[in-house]
Amino acid sequence: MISGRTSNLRESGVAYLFLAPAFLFIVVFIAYPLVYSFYLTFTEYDFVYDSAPKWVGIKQYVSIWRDKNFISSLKNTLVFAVFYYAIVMFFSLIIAFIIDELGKGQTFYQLAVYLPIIVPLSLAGVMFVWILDPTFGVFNHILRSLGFEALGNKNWLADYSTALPAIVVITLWKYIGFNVIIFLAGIQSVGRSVIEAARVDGVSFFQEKFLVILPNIKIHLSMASLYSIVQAIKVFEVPYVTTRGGPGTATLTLYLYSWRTAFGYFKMGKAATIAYITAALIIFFSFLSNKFLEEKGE
Amino acid sequence: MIRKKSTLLILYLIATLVALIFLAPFVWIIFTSLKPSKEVFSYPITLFPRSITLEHYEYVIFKMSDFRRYFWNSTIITGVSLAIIAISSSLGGYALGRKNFWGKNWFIAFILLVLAIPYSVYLIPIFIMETRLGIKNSYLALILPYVALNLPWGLFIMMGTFRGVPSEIEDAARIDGCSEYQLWSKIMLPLAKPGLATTIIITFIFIWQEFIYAVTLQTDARWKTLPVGIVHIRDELQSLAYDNLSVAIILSLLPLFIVFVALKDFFIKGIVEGGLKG
Repeated sequence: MISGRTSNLRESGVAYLFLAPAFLFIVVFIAYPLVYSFYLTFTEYDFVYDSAPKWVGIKQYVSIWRDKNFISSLKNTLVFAVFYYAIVMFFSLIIAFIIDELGKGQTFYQLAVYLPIIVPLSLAGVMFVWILDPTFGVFNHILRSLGFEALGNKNWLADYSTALPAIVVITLWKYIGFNVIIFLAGIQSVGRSVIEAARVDGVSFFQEKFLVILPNIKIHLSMASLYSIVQAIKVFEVPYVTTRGGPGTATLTLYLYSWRTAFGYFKMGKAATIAYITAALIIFFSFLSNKFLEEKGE
Repeated sequence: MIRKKSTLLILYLIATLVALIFLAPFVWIIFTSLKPSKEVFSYPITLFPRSITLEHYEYVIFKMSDFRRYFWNSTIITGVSLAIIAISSSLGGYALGRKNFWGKNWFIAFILLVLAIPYSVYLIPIFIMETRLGIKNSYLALILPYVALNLPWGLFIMMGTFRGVPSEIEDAARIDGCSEYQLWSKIMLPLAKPGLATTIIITFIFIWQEFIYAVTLQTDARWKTLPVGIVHIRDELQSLAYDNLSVAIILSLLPLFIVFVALKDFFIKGIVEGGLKG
């Protein structure tokens, strides 16, 4: 409707005014920190002793690989991510398929699976420390009453081999519902006629789900995949609350290590470097996931 | 075509088992909160409460002043952040959804990127900044970053909502002589209410749960929010005070529970649409 240079300028001016409050917040608390912490990765900056960051070039990026704690936290994060991602994608898809089939009571089943979403990860951690308590916890109690005496006396969060899997399980409990929401939205957007037609052709339950519905929910798959990658790599609250990264460094994750380096040891340059490597991992895997799901789509 | 009865029965069985697994932690915490302390720490433990008491609720609500303080802090910080997010995202979303201006696509691309980058990247500079300004351990310490971190979601949802308003409505209002501000406040905003509700619910759930910023920027116990405060109480007690802790957890989940159950569809819409655009 509006044309000409002056009205365009006017429209831009109005738009900038409307955007100004949001823009201001995003520049000061997101854009500037993003740039500043990138700058910090090229510095040494002890927040307690140094008055200003000291430029050291790429030294942080080189020396970090000789840090044993960094290597363990990288390894733990990747192991966590691989198991978490595979399980969360698979189970949430299956659960969504099943819930979609239910007639009566569908809302109840949805709500049951969605409910952990409202629990802050830190409180999920506190809850599970209690549930997994070796003596008074309900989990071991049930194991013992089922006759698994040896397993029923395990201290899951303090055992070197079970601490990380326990954290995977707690995180799964919290986030599976998140993916189920996305998958259900996808499944329910597939036209009934497509499914009816396939059923007339006599496809089995699994053929219908994996050969008819799955190719039709590519967008939802890649969306759930992106959310899951972010969740899989930024592991912080659960180990912070349940294990403090231990036993040893069994559950030390990149996020936790970066945080401890910054706010426990106040080595801001090194901490920013770890944070940036973590961010790079997330972006790399997101990119990979996008590429993979796109190619499959063609 | 309807599935065979036997198939449906199996599906219901699996679904029920899954639902039980997901609900079990809640049930256990509720049971713990209702048992007398002696029963909570009896061995072997009891699955179902043998006797029921409300003494832990009484204690946490009336005697645990720390808990009340944390609840209050969470309420203020979440409430003020939500108000600022609601205003600035419905203003900004309008500009992004209905106006053309230089730099728009760059801005959208940038907030897309923000959604993928972990929060900790911003945390170190924000910590340094807030230390220099002396605003750590205050309401502002969390309100400012919470607004910024949740704005990308709000902007996306509001941008989509405003984009969906038919342009005939805008043209008609202009012909009637509406000013830009009137157009936004009288015509557009009322039409964007569902989007605004989605934004508020999603950000409410995110902010009430936030942990990393809260644990870093509020080092003084006085200013802690619930997710950090409850962990703090646990660490302070150094013992298994899970009877009272269970109550504290239940009470701090209550606002989230009420909002989620009542307005679930808005939350779902926000998650799915926010993601589809991103």
